[in-house]
Amino acid sequence: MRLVVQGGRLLDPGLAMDELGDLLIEDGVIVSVGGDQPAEGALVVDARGTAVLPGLIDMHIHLRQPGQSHKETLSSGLLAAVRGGFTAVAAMPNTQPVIDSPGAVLEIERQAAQLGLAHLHQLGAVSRKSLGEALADFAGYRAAGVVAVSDDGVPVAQAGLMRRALQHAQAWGLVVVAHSEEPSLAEGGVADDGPDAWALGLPTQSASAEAAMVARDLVLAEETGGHLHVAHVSSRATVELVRAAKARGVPVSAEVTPHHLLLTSAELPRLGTLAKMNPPLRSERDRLALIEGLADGTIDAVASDHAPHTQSEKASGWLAAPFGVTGMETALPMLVAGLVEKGALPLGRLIDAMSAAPARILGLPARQLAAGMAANLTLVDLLAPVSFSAESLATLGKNCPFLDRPGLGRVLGVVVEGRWVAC
Amino acid sequence: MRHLVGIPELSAPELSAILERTSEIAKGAIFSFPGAVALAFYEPSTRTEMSFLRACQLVGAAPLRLLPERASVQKGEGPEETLKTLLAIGAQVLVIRTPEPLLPHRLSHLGLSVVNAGDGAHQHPTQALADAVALSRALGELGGRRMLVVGDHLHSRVSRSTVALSVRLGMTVELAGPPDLLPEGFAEMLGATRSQDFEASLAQADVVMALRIQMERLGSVGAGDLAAYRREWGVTAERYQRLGAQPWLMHPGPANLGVEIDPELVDLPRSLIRRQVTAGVQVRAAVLSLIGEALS
Repeated sequence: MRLVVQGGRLLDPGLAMDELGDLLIEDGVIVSVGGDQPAEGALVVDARGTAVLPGLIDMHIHLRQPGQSHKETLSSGLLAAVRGGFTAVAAMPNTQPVIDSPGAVLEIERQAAQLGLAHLHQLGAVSRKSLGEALADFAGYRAAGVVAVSDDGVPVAQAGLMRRALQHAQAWGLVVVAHSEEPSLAEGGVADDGPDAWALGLPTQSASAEAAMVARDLVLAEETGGHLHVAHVSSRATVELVRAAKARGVPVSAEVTPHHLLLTSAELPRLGTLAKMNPPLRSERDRLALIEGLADGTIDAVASDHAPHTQSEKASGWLAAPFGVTGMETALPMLVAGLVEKGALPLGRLIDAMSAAPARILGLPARQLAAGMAANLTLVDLLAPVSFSAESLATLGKNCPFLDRPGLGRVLGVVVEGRWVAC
Repeated sequence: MRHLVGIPELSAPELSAILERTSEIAKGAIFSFPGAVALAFYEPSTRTEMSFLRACQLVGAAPLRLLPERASVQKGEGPEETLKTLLAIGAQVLVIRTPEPLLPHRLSHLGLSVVNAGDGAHQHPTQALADAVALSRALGELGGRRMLVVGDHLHSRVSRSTVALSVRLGMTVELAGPPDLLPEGFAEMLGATRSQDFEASLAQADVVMALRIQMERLGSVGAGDLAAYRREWGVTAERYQRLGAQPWLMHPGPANLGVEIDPELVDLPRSLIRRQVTAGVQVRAAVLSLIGEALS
């Protein structure tokens, strides 16, 4: 099986590559890069006028199977991933029931593989049923090829259990993805503690609810040597903690979402419950610190925290509506338009944060436009303006805060392990 | 006007119209709104609901009381559904009290006129208007007068409404209260300032309003907590009698007597607490009649 991606702008910041040329792929592996490649007998993808990037990975999404397929199915979610330019995604295990065993992970990955869309890496829960009481089977996870564990949606409240999780993660080569939230500080808050939420009478949670938990987990990661990955960093305080920890060699990585990079609590009145997510949108000062942290590498990766819910669930009011917004399809175009185009972040850093960096964190095949590498590619016309509507989104979760906001970058399709998937 | 959802949304002409209409009603003028007004109180309320019922009588409107403990809300019906049912029944105005901030705002786009009777910790506009009316009857022109509001601001819709309206009417407003219930920056958000010294602010105030302390907000809420609150932030008889020029006294009710305000102060000649309630009925009648005119 041969595939030629023809005439694209080959753009790989890790290799300092930015040139026009072809890519030849055989049996899922890149065999030759650049210049003219022989197209005889190959499937040819015309990439003229588009950029060819190392395959993007969204390392933090929520699919709702099993249990909540009215919010999202594997097929709608993984199609949304492809539309967003993602060759692979990592899904959180907070389904119903919680995916907390190696067998459950393998079953959902088997179903996903049959769809022929983006590659699904299913995370397993840290604790049984994500109750924060009994540790799940980390050795079994490893044997099943699981790359990371998380109780995302809720924090691992007990420090003792988190310490054991990091010890097991260290022993079995897993990453613990932490939803960092100190419960006694978060206390039912639905928005960031500050004037924007006070003005609306909303119960709030402070940035310290995140940072205090991150501080605890950094101490535990340093002590145990277990790899801590801080999910959806939202505050300046957390950026500073992670920066200092990295400087002294703590095994920590971090991600940030497009919504925390592009929106603040000033948008609460306009967005309504489309601005209800956990952690919440914070101040402009926090937002600028996140961009700075992403630019200097303190924050390794960008991940969408794609969290689909139905319209009626999100319309049930500030207190009752579930947390979360969708964002796989909008992530790249919104960040290109909102950060790169405005000079706030180099394009190369954004591409790295959405491809090579998550691959490094999760221990996935490297994302490189180089011979011998697994053929995972994203084809995107970075100059094409795009916009989104509820109808245009493939995800069932229309709860996206970026509808009707101009984006840049139209995804043509992705190559997933040598297989061309058009949008 | 079609709706009254909050003080920030209230236009200057609407505000003038309400104040003028209230004073006409107080003088005995009759304004009729022979429509149907649905009262949906999803939170317990005595005085606000009674006050709206009396206001309905004053303007000749038929009140339709939704009793949430008996209503389909218990069967999981969403507020939009309830509202559309009320509309089909023939109600023209929905008066709503809800724990959900911004719900009245959301419902105001569905074809029924909406009056917010309190949405969580967000807004309680008729309370603010009643306070302004009661106060201006006592003080005359409010511009340049000094108001002190003491208590739990963070969880108070009265603070957000009354303080905002008082500032808008030209008053100099200071806020006082425990640091966790009056966080840094809260007063400034409302155009007020934070009192640096409660006793000194009290001595300078033309009017002091004590906010209701919700018992569950005071940590463990033993008698000791209440005693400590009263000692630091209470409008106590002892504190009040000591003042040279005694300020007017206000409280939105229901008061925890002996905690945020002492019982012997409530019925002093300089207390506006009963007059706030009376003004509340007149303000609500004014609002209903103005909405009725806009609808006809």
